[in-house]
Amino acid sequence: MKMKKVTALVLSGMLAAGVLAGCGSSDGAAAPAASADTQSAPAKAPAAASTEAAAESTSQASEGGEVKGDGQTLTLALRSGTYADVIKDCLPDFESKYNAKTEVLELSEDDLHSKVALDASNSDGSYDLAMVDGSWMAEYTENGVLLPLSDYGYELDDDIIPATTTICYSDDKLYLAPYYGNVTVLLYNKQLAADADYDSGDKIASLDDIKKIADSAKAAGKKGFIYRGDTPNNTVVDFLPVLLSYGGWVIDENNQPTVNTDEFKKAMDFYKELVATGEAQEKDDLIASVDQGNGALGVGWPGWYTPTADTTADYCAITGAVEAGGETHNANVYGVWTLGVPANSQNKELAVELVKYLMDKDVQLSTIDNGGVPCRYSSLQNADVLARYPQYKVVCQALEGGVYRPVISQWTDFYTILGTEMGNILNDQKTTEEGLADAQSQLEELMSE
Amino acid sequence: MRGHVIKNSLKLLFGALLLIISLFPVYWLFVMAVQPSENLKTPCLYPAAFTADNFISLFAESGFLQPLKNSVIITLISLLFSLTFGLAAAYILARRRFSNRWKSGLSFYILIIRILPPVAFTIPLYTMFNRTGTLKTLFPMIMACILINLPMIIWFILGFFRQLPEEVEESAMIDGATEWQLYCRIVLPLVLPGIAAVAMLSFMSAWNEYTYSIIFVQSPQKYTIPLALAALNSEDNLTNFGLVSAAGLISMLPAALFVIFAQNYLIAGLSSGAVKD
Amino acid sequence: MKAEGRITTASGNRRRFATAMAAPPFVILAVMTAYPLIFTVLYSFTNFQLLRKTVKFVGLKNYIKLFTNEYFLQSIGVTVKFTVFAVLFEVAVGFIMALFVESIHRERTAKILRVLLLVPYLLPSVTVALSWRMMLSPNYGIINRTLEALRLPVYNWFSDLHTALPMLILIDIWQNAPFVFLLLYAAMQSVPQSQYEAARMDGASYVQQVRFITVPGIAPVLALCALLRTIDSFRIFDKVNLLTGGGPANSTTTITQYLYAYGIKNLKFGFGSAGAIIMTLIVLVLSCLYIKKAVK
Repeated sequence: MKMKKVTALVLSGMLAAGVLAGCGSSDGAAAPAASADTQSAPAKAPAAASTEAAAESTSQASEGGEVKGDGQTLTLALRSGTYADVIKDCLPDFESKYNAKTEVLELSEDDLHSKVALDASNSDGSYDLAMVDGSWMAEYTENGVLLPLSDYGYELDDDIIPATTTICYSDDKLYLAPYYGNVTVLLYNKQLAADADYDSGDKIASLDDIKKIADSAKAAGKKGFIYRGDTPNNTVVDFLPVLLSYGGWVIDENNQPTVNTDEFKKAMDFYKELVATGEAQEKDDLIASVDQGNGALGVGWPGWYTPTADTTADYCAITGAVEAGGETHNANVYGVWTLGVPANSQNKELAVELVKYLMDKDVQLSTIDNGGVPCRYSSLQNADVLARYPQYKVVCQALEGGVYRPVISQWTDFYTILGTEMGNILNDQKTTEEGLADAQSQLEELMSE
Repeated sequence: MRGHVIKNSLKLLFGALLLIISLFPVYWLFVMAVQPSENLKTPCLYPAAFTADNFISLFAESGFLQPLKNSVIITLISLLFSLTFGLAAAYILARRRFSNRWKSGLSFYILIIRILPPVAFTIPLYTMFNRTGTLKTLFPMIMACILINLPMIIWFILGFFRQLPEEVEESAMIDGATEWQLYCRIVLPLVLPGIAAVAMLSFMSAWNEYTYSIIFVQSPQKYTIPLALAALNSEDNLTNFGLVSAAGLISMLPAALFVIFAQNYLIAGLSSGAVKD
Repeated sequence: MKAEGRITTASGNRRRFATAMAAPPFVILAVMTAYPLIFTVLYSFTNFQLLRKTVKFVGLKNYIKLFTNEYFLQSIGVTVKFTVFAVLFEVAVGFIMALFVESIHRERTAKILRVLLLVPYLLPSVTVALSWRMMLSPNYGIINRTLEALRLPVYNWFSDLHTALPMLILIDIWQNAPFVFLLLYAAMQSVPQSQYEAARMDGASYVQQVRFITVPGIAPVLALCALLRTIDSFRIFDKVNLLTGGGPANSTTTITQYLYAYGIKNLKFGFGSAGAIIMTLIVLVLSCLYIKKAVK
């Protein structure tokens, strides 16, 4: 019975792949010409070409007897926005190739976190694939929420930017696949930067340079550096690149909090001065400020802004040096969205196939036109891609020099405490010393629980 | 005579001011919703250009229709049940002739339910619905809305019932009316304005329910309007204010329709003349 | 003898009617609340964390932790401040609105006004928050533009320590005063017209009529409004979470926002349950006056 089913599946899989590969070839021939002359309009042709390639790679997989699917429905819990949109665009192709249906649940970050956790307590899980933020990794794996992908025959390949894979493993088993390369960048207004003699993003090479631009903007009656002060999480994330540049971090190798160290204090003092050149604004305002030239700089995500030659703002990677020529650190903070399969998924094998499919080199390349940011060299250093989206060079640099937020199960509490005390410091409710000492003692208590 | 004119124009001014303050944010939603997104950066008091793109993409791309349907079903069913049960319970609690030693305890308990933060209920209820296997239906949401509205309806209507003199009922009883007839034919019509008002309020809280839905809703097919609205607002992307505004306007429509409908009902209740003499 | 028998049947019928009427609502409420309540109380004495498999009894530790936590104590202060101002103004504004509409004698105008004035209350909180955020934005917000044009000072409303909480209170008043208006207006309809006529014959002024007829006439509903608004203001969450996230410097962190950050988001439901219980007790104390009167 089982044998029959598997044979049928393999056959149907091969058939599907064969048919697709067959029609793909004629498209493929037309592809290069089409992509050359479509500069700004979303080029469909390269996507078609890569689909064909993907079909070939899956047809190989099907010969290995791994393609399964008998019309069941996979439920995906995804982060709403571009992240989910990119995946949704790939699903119809997956559905037809693997004879499966899919259903997508789009959630905000907090809701996604708690929903996946809530569902983990059920023996029959509702979700087959979930987007996971790197900072949830420890909490999820410690409590068996996720399925070890390596046990189901999936391993990450070398094409993926190595720094993005560091948190994906636990006890030598792979749990997550870095899917969407989200990383902090420095958003700046071109004119206000040029006024301070920084006419290209490459010249902004240190925190000093950032400060100079902010000061010059402030002297001109504009806002200098703008940060997000609305939630503890945002407060912390916007500050981390500065902290990293000073060689500091929030925990040491034994997961003990290190927020009351010299590096941390220096970084905090600098940040307070930097922030004094501007003000706290909510995300949409920050972008509008920098875009309209009311503010000079801010820490942001590439998804916020699409710079071109004509736009008033641009972004660059944060170099991680305090002064020009000084020691550089990995200073860009990851907000990479990874893919994982809940351990209680009802369709584990097929779900892992979906991860494989979505992580496929060519499928990932095809997502770029819809706003995807693969953590892959083959995508981000692709000449065609860079010709159309030059900003991916910066994104690639930022991803290479990126750092995940700490992989500790208490991270939610950790950033809430730290962000709250930082808010007190930045709003002059406490001195830097008081605030950091308070944060340190609370965090020590938290980590010892 | 002159005093009358001054009084009237003051009234007019006050009314206009009240209306402007109340309606401007909604008008602003409209201005944002009908303009192409390029226009939103430089605000102007009236729309400089019109487009229906935001509304079209809301239904075509963001699939707003399914949540709309779910919200209507959940709201109407929960409203029906909570009104029927709430009115009945309030009537019994309000009338001294239905004496019962549990009564003050029950009143107190209902008030507690109304006071308790939803936080205290969501997680255990989730486990309960999960065990009964109803989590994949709209049932948990309907029950959640009943849970929210029932205590409010009881407390609200209680005041109305208590204001009605019991003598009316007593005299009807002497005329041979049964309790059931009394309740349906005499008491309920007298509190119609109250019912209309409380129905409006319950409709609103069911329509806007977010706290429970975010825990109970398991599948995109069961999304409600507030969930769909929240999904449009994401921290890592630029907020599409046009889309959000369009969604906000649409989310208001059924409630507005309901209010207009209930408003007429309220008038009917008033003009029945039993309350106002 | 005969008369007694009739009374017995009547009271039997009455009891049956009362049971039939009251049983379904109370059974539903019991099932929907007793079970979760018991668990919430139990959880509050444990270290229950959703993902952790082991749950340990920790006694009063959660409660002690809450009461020794400066943020939690601060959040109680913020919540009380928010509640006092919001409820006070909502009831006052709602009352004035109701009086105003009541004073309009043209049926048509009053009817239209009633619907239009209710509109703010008809919007979902998410929409309210987003609409105000758009209007108050320091960059593209119409309010700061207008203030600038009028040469008035502008603020970064939600990020300024001094304006964030007042702004949240203002938005809450804007949204909920119509709720009070609706209830009070409905209540005013039940005040008999004859009382006003009698007062007018005695030469009572408008203010006197309001003071001695309207207010006593709607007193129970007025109290109910205040209570309902107190309860809802006390657990204010969605607008805070969407507009300020509790910042700047915790100045807008209400109790629910605190519990969300330290008891829900991190899935520490044991701790969160203890907070929910404390919050309930505070509201109970606050509304005990009303309860005493109502439960009589």
